[in-house]
Amino acid sequence: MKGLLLNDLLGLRRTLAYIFVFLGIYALLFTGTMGPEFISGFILVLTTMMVNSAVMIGDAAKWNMYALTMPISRRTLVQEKYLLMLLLGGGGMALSSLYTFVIYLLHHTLDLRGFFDMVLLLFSLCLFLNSVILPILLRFGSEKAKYLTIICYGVPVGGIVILGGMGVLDGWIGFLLQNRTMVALACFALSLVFMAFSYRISLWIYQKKEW
Amino acid sequence: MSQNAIFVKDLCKDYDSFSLDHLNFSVPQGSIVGFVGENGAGKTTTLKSILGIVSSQGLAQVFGKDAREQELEIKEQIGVVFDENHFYECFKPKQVEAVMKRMYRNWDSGCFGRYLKEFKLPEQKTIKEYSRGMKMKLSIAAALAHHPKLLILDEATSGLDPIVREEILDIFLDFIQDEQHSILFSSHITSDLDKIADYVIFIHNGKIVLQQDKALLLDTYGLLKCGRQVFDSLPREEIVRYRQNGFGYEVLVDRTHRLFRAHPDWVIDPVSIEDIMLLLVRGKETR
Repeated sequence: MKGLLLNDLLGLRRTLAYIFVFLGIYALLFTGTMGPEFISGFILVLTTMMVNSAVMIGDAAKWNMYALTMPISRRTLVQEKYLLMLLLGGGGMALSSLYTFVIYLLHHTLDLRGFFDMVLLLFSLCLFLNSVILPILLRFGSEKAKYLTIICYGVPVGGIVILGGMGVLDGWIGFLLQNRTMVALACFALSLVFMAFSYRISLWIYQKKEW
Repeated sequence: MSQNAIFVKDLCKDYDSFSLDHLNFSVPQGSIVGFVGENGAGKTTTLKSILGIVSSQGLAQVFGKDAREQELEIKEQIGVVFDENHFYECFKPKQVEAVMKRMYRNWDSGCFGRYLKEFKLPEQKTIKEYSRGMKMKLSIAAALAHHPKLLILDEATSGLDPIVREEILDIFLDFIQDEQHSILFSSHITSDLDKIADYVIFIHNGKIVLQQDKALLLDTYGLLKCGRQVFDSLPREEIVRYRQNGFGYEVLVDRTHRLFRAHPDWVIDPVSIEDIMLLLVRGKETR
C-alpha cells in the first residue's frame, strides 16, 4: 500500500506543484471579487479531484498491470485509490483552512463556523462525485471514460445551476442556511456511506479486470 | 528430483478470436526456458495467465504453489520484465527505488545501486530522457534487486540493438549461475534463445507445437533440401513440416532416423530455432 501511495504522490508531484502555484495566483487575484469562500471551495475541489489524475497517469504507464506482477493484490490496488482520495481531500481541507485562517487574520471578517460547514459540504460533494467516477475510471480506463467523467461532473453542477436559476431550490437553500451544520454533517455521513458502496463496486470491477 | 519453477497443466484462456488451448509445460529449476512463437501466438497471454493479470482455467504452479491461491507469497520471488517501461517517465532511479523498496520485503537498495552503476544508468536523468536500452536495463535492475528466484521476461530484448541485447543476455546468464534461479523468456528473437536457452517451447495459434531440450532439438532436427523425387519417396510420418520453393522442397526431419543415415547423399542442413519456428508456422504438415 505504501509503495502504491508513494508512487501516485510522486507521479502527481508536478501536477500538484502547478495547482498550488495556480491556486496561489488565483487567490491573490480573486479573493476580493469572488470571496474567500469561493476560493476555499475551489482549493478543496481541485485537490480532491486529483485522484482522477492519478488514475489517468497510471493508465498511461500501465502501472497497475505491472504492479500486479509484484506482491500486491487487486484489493490493495483499489483500496489505495480510495485512501489517496481521502488523503488528497484531507490535504485540500488543510490548505483551504490555512488560506481561510490567513484571510481571517488579515480581515477578521470571516464566519469560521460557516467556513467549516461549507468545507465539509464541499468535501462531501467531492467525495460523492469521486465515488461515482472512480469505478467508471477503473472499469473503462481514463481514455474511454473521459466523456463519462465530464458528464459525472457536469450534470450535478449544471443541474444545481439550472434549478437554482429557476428558483426550484429556493426553499432548499433557505433550509440549508438555517440548518447548515446539520446538513453538512449529514452530507458528510452520506458521502462516506456512498464511498463505501462505491468501493465495493470498484472491488468487484477490479477483480475481473484484465490487461 | 529438482522442483519445477513453473508447472502449467491444461492452461486455457478464451478470447473472441483467439484461445490458449490446454497448454502443458514446465520450467525446470535452474534452467532458462525459451518461449517462442510469432506475434499473436499466445506468448504474452500465457505469461499473463501465470501471473494472474488475465483470468484463465487450468493449473499454474510456481515453486510448487498454486499461482492464484498463493499469489502474494509467490510474487515476492518473481521478477518480471516486459517489453516496455511501466515506471512513470517523470521518475528518476531514486524515485523508482523509493517505490520499489516498499513493494518487496527483500528489496536490496545496495543491489539496485550496483546494477545502476554496472548498467551505467544516469541517476540524475528522468526515465523520459533514457534511451530504450536504458529503460530496459532499469526494468531489469528493478526486477533483480529484490533477489528473485524466477525471472519472467516478455520480449525483454525487443527493439534493442545487438550490443545492448548481448549485454542483457549476459546479465541473464549471470543470474542463472545460481542453480536455484530460473528464467522463462518469451521472445520472437530466436537468436537470443539460440544463445542462452536450455529448453525451447514453441507456441503457435495458442497451442504448444513443440517443446524440448534445445541442444537435443538442434541435434535431432535437420532441414532436408531435396527435389520432387526424393520428397515423394519420403514416408509421411518422417515429414515434420515442409515448404516448397522455386528450387524444390525444404523438409524438417528427424535427422537421427535410420532412413536419413541410410542416405548420406541427401543434404540435411543443421537448423536454428528460427528455421524450426518458420517451418512450424509457415510449413505444411503433410503432402
